[in-house]
Amino acid sequence: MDTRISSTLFFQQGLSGIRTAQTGMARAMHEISSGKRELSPALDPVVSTTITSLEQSISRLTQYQRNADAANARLGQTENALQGMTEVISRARELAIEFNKSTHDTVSRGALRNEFGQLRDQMRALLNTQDERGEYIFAGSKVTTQPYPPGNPQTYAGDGLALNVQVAEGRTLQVGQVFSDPVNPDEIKTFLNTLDALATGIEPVPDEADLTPMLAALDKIITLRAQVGNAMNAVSLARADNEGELYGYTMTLSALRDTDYASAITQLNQQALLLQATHSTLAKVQGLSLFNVI
Amino acid sequence: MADFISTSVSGLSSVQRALDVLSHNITNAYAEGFSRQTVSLITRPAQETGQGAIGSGVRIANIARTFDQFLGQTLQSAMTEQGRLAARQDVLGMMDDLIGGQGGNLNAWMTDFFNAAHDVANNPADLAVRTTFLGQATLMTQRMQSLDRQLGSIDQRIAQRATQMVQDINGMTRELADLNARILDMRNRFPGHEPNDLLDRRDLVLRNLSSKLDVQTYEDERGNVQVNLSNGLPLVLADRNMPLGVMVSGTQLAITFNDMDVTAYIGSGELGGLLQVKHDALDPLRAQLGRAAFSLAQRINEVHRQGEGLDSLDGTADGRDLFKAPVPGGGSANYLALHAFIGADRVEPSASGVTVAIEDVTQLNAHDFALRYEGEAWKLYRLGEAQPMQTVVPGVIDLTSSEGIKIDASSLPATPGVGQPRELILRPMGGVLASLSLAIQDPRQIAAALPGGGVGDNRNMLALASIASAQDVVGGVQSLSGAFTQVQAAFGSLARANKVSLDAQEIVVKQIRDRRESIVGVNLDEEAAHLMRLQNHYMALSKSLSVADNLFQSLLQAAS
Repeated sequence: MDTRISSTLFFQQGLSGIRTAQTGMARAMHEISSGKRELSPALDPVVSTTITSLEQSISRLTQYQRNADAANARLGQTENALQGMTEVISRARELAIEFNKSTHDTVSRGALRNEFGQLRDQMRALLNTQDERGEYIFAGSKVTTQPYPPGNPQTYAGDGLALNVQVAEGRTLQVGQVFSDPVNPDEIKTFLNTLDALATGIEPVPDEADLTPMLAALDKIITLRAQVGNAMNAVSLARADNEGELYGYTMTLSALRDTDYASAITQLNQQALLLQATHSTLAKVQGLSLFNVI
Repeated sequence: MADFISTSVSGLSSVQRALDVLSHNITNAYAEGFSRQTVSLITRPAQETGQGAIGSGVRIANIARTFDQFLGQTLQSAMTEQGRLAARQDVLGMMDDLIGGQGGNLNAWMTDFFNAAHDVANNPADLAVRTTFLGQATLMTQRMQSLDRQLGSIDQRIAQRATQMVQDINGMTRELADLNARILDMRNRFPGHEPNDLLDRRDLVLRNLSSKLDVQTYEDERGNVQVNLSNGLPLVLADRNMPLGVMVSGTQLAITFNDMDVTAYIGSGELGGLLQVKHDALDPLRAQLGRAAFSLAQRINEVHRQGEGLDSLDGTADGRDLFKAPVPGGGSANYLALHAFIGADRVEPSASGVTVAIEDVTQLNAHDFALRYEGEAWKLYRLGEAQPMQTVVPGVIDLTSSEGIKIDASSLPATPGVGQPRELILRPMGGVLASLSLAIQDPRQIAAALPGGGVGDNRNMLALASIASAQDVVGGVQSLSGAFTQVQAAFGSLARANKVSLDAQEIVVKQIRDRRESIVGVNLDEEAAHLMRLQNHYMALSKSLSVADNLFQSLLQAAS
């Protein structure tokens, strides 16, 4: 015997068919218009938590890139200053060799002394380089204190704490440079004192310039430049690594989160077709009644 | 000849009644709960004549509704389960929007905060950057407060729905008691005639009641439907109903019967689902998010206290907190949500005097607890567990090694007297999200430097920023983001499983409903066919009557 089907059941089935098709259409339309797949922890716990983690990694990596930019800017300023210092020291060495020539008399030595004074001031200005915020970049952590104030013997008012920046997960890089020690003598202070003595000619009056402090200062600066160069390479490397990771994460995120248009549009078409079919079926079935023929 | 007429008339009146029933069926074709009614005819007793027994027509034996006891009961229990899953789904859906959307993305907020910390590390002396950092920290606490408010409004919505539902349930049990009385009355007055429409109505109310909560129903020998709670307490007894009550106190929700807490006996249906989802999804989620926020504040403060702000670079650590949060071992009752019940009365948390102190943040679990006076002793439970953790005496309960807390229950009476609480609910992490706030307002007080450093020292800020990826922040074994994604994943699995079960249960209910409907439902075409049949029958009977009349007339004419 065939199953009885009540009129209510017939009607309900048609109605629920329409409802299902409409829900499906609304979902597909939303995915198409928003460009994002419909996702939530309840719909797909694994994908949702993966997306949360990916978004966080992307945000963190973007911050590391910002940090790397900040490190690069600082290293660039340092490199410029070191370049200037190299030129000052080289010129001082040339000048010292000239100064030591027997052909000079007191008068011509005086002119040279003048230039030694200029070089001393230039060197001091470079050591007191400030960044765009007005902070001294060679003062260690005492960035608001002028590290190399005028005076003989030269003093250092900064400290030994160079700035570190985190440029990647687990990679922190020293981007600040420190030349001097607040208490002990060092190549830079000695170099400035030597220049000052040559410039002023006061006791001990050097009638012969000592080249040793100049060579020592040059060595020191060259060493630091090499360090800055290494740091710049390290930043570039970190940037490239971060960039690679960012690209990978972004692609994965897009694959997980963005609408697959081909399938969403197919889905929309299917649901539209289904809805149309349900509409006409319901209308047809509801129109069929034995009462029509009585 | 008189018999000929009376036989035909018996047929006509039976067909008329059958037409009445048929039109009732057609009229109620789409009425909820209506069962198709059928007329059974019975042949009237024959009269013995000399020539043999001659039939005397037909009469109506009874008007019965088609129904299927077994399918009715199966449908009831399927609807109870569907109700449970649907009520859970509703709440889980609201939570899902929150946890999956931007309104609950703790991870994103923490990442923004730590990114701002990196910016300070890059430029420790820059006041503008420091101000932005404080702004981000404030924003994070505000977002947590907003999340807590939204979780709280879900909690309130559960309480409101439960209250509404209990009212509905009481309305239904009242109607059932009333129907019992009316059905009994009809049966007494018209023995052998079933009050079909009242029976349909009673079945419908029972089905609706079953979707609200899990009840046991059975019919007594007099035909009354009795409805019991799962523990046997009667909700409907013959023509009387016993109402349920709701008690809401803070974050605690209880269902009462005659001032007795019967929450534990409501395990299914929409009401059971609501109670359950609060218990196994909402409350734990709040506790877990609270723990993550607490661990974050705690660890940040530990690091921040080691450093120096721009305003006091004096070579010694400032010891200042960044967040206002309880100090381990210091204890703070602000982080408690305590609620107590005595019968139907509510006791304010402060009245109990019980406090909880955080002793070891690395051992902190996201558990809620209950202190209950049972069997002449206080017992400590983890909420949701059937077995007590331990029996306790008033004093300090040290749970440092297992839960990271100490409960000071010194104020607990050894034996609660009249009007004193017999149950206390403790939610140590319950209020954290809502109450987290900043301890410093001046950007110069951000301790980016370590003792001995200058204004450009960022060592402490780097240490602070590195907490983002530290693996031992939450419960001593998890990173902050790990803890959050775990909460998200656990919630997602729960919600997903519920959705799958609900979809399956909806199909089960639909199948049973369809099967039942195929037996008891009205098919209009079928009724139309019956109508045609009855019409023909009626015409045939009319014809018989008219023939009888003709015969009678001929006889009269012949006689005259």
